Amino acid sequence: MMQNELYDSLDKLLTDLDVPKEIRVLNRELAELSGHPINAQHLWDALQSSGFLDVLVPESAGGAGLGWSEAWQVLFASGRHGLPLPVGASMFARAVMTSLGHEPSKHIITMSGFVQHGPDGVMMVRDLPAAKLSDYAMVQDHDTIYLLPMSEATLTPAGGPGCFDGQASWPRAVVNQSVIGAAPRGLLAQGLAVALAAQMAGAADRALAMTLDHANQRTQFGKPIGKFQAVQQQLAQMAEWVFSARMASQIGAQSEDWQVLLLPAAIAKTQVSAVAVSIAHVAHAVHAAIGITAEYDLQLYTRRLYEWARLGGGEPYWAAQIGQQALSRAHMLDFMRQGVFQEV
Amino acid sequence: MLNPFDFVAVPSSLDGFRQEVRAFLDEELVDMPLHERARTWMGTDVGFSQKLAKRGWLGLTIPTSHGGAGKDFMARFVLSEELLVAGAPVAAHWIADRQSAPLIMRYGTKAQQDFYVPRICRAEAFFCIGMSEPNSGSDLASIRTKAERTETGWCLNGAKIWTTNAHGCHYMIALVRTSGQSSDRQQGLSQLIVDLSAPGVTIRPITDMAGDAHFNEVFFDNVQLPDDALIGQEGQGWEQCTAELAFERSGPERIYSSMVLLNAWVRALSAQRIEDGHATQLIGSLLAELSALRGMSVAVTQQLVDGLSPAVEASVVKDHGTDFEQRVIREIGQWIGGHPEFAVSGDFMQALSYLEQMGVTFSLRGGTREILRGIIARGLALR
Repeated sequence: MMQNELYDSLDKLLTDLDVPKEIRVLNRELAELSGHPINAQHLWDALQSSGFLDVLVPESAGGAGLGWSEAWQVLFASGRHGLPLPVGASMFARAVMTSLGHEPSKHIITMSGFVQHGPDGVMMVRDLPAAKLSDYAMVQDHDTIYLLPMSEATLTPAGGPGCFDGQASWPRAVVNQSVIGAAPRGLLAQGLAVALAAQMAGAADRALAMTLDHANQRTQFGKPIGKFQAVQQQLAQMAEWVFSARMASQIGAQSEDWQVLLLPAAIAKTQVSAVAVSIAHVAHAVHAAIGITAEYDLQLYTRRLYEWARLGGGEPYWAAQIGQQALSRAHMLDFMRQGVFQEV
Repeated sequence: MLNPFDFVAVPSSLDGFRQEVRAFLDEELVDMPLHERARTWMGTDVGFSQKLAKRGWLGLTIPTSHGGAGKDFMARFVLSEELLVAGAPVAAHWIADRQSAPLIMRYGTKAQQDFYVPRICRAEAFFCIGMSEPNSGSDLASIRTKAERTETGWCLNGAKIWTTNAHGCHYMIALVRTSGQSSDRQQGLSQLIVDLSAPGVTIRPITDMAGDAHFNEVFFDNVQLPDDALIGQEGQGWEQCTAELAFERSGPERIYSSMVLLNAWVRALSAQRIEDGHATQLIGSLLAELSALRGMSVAVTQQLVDGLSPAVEASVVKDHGTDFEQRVIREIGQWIGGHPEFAVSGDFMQALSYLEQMGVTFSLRGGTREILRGIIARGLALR
């Protein structure tokens, strides 16, 4: 699963687009139109026209008919560029729609596998990635799949300036009209877990690259700070975590089609979430004050690590899913080999 | 330079081999208590090593011309994984098999290869590594043990320390100074094969806090060695050693040292039908970290299969892996302490206590955490 042509072409596209500049445009809109959906169509169209969003859609439905192992390339690249759009959620949503017999939607779709029920049939979702940039939310409640319009949602920010995630609720009437089919429980939660894990692994990789550059360039006491053992020891450990996140996300994205498997998905989100915050901490520790300024790009990546580590279930949630299955097994290596690595 | 790791699957063609190894271990180790299994690759049983050799499982990657099985490093990964997870007592042959035989195949003369390697594969020659000295640990280049040319070969004087299993070995591959002074650092070092039965060699076992005498002090007092004791090139000892350490650091022994404890704990929870949220989360969290590590270890193995020398990548797996091994011990110990009502066997507690005491060595042996992170930092091009 080496970085391949898919990664290279998206990397080039996003480099040319200058994602950090685009994010700052979105942030300005966010500040001016607090609480309203923001227009991210410019960024979205670039992805759309290149076909990256149809990687998981079967060929019969006009997609590329590839699997998660290829989708990983797209997700890792988009994470590495700090793309705040719900890239993975939308890619997976398109495949889910196709499987339910619908034409895959070209809209920006956010996703959640977790809902709460309010009074009078109101449906609430606590955290939706990039809710403020999205046209629809694909939500699963037990085995029912909903495609809910964000234009009908009551949207509350789930973070401060620069956070595009949000909480949303819909009245009963909208909820009832938005059912698009049924799927096995956990499907959306697992798909989103793999997608976020791969996007986070990309953001973590960028944070490492920026931090290494900074350590080599910033001079104190007459030498680059990367020369100091105390700094080197932290950076070495950060690299271990970044590589671990990358591997875990690839373990989650093994499949050759759009389907996800519970254990690999859970492993991916557990491990990536577990190291994400530590990765961000070393990045900021090495950068010192400049790293938390709005003007400097590091925060565009580390904020996603913080936000997405929790979103869609964090380490404790997914770890419990793994643990519950492991408890019925006598041999942890076999459990891991068979359930996670798909060996016989 | 350090490259990222990418997922590769263990080939399914090795499934049959794994089952064969598993069946053998299930039968051989059926009566072995947990606290002995917890010693994994520090546990010694010559008879067991000989049984493995009879099955052709020593020198798995060594060519058949030299008594090996001629298989690739992925097969060795599978074998090592099974041995370590079972807690098999592999220490007698482990170092000879893991690094001495590959070292001799790579740097040795044909005569040295023909003499030593088939005996290693038959479990008739066990090797230890002579690196650390009383005043040279992490600063390995400061070693003082010295070999001087004689008319017939070499005269060796000095001492090695912390030499694992020297008392159970036939040979030591020692890093010694063959020219220059300590101040010459990496220059002038060579590797010699020392016959430990030679006159002038004294081996003194050192008892550790768990009661085992697994490591030793080894003294050399005018030890006369033949000319062909030199392995590889004179003066190239440092480079050879570095290549050797890549073998030592890359294997799955760097992620599975606490696996017997994890297995036993999960089985005990399951048997007592404990429904504890913290325990369930902890199992999942540990398995997630372990899965990523296994993926990384397999990726390093694939690089060995492809003929690369993933020295820095191996350091990443070792440093991260030993962190994990120590975390398993710490967290399970903590959980046991938090649940005094939970019944566990004395055998389990002995295993836990052994690992608690010896777990610290996981991030010492084969290069300390600080040394490894320095190597990784260089691999990250920190100038």
